[in-house]
Amino acid sequence: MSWSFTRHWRMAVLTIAMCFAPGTQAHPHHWIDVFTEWQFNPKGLISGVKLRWLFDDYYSVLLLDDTTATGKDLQVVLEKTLRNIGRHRYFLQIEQQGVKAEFGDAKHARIGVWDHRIEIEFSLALKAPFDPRQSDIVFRIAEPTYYFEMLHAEESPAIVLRDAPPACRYRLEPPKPDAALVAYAASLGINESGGDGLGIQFAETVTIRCE
Amino acid sequence: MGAIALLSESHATALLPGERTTTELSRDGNHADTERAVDVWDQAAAWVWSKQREFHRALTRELRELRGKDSVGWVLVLMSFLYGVLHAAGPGHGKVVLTTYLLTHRSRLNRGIAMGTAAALLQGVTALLLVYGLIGFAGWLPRETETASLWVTRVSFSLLAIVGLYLLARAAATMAHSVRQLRHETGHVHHEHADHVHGAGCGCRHLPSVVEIDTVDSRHAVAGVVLAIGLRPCSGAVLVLILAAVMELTWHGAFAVMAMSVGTAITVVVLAIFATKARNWASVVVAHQSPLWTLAAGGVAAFGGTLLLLLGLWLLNASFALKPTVGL
Repeated sequence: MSWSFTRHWRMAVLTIAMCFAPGTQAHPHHWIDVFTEWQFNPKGLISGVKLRWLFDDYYSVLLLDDTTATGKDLQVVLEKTLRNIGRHRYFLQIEQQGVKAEFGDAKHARIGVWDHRIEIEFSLALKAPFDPRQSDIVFRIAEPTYYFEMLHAEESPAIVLRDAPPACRYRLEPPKPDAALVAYAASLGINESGGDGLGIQFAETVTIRCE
Repeated sequence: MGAIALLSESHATALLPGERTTTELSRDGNHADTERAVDVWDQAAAWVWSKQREFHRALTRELRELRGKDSVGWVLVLMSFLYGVLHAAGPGHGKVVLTTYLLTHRSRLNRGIAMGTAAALLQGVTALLLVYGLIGFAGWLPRETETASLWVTRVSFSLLAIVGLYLLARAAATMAHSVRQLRHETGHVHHEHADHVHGAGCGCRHLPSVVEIDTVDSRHAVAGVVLAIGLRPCSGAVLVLILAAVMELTWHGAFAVMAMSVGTAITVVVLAIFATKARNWASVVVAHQSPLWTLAAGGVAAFGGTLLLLLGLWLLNASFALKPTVGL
């Protein structure tokens, strides 16, 4: 009873605070369209993945501004970004039966401007390749704090199974965050963080299966 | 604290992916991992935010597709209009300010409507002048424009605080007058009024008439409220205009923002009508043109002024906790 009361009270305060949040910005603030290309080796094992991130137009404008204003090269942005995301497993979770994939440093990294949008590309090699014939391989990609929303691009093909055996398929499930979580994320101001566990709850789940 | 640390570290640079995660303190720990029950509040908030998010994406996409094409872009205009209606239906500082004023101050219906319309359209004009003026004519970078937008916002918050203070002072004066009258009428401190002649210029008004609504004082207050709302450009409008400026879709952006303002005006006017009606209904129910009632009305007006003053100060304070960038 009292729990429910405090809860409603808290939500009311939160909602009112939301009304006045200067800038009325809420998480996520920017988005990244993701393209993933899964590399299969000749034995039919998944040996690596090539990622392409396409930032939203507005973020791209701001970032390009920064590079112009500070005279910094986009290459510096790329290096810094890779260093940052490298500490977070490149925002990528790959699992097979609860075993998490380990991968080395990003290779073949590239940054550029595509249709006025910033894009970065890099490849990751799995330290131990996964065999998709044994069981499902599940992967999710998310920026931990949900400051950026990362979803596979709407334009196809956003997911490619390169050199995969013909029996291989993938299935993409859209994220299903509950309303409370969406409301919570929306209540977070631009300088606030909901912790590093928030983003993954807004992530798509992709399953790769070879039968 | 995390925000402040971040401020000094990465002033005026776009936050890169993964930059925030290790430096930032979480607002309330591992909220994301705790069990939650979903209630109506959440449902409503989630709906509004997810719709806004979709609109942001759709507006960006429309602009992108218009680039290099010789099209009027009606889809963009229509979408902006709907965004305006929806955005205004969500929570926002302008609506809170307007309803607070209209609920605590007697106004004619058409004045409430005019205030809502003027404030909504002014928001669009502010955004246009700010973004196009600075980028187009002064050659500023979009980020600098965002900073300018934040400063205009601060001006609007300061103005809000001033209007609140002004309304409070005015209400206090009215109340003081009513108190004097009450004492006069009940005769507790009755004294001879040899020198007290009621006439023109005496300043004594026993009955506040409807005419009082239109005094110069209140016109100042109304203009102040409209400016305090209208000087703050809507973040959606700034976003669309900056993108339009960068993509060289100046006219499309301008039309989109005007459509957005019209959409906002419609919702705000509906709200203004409700607020004015509610206030007038309440006045009719308890209306006695007595000093006591005037005192009560003065108390309500003072309360409204105080609310606006505090709101202005709070928003101003909060705006300084922000980085001087909106999009980051």
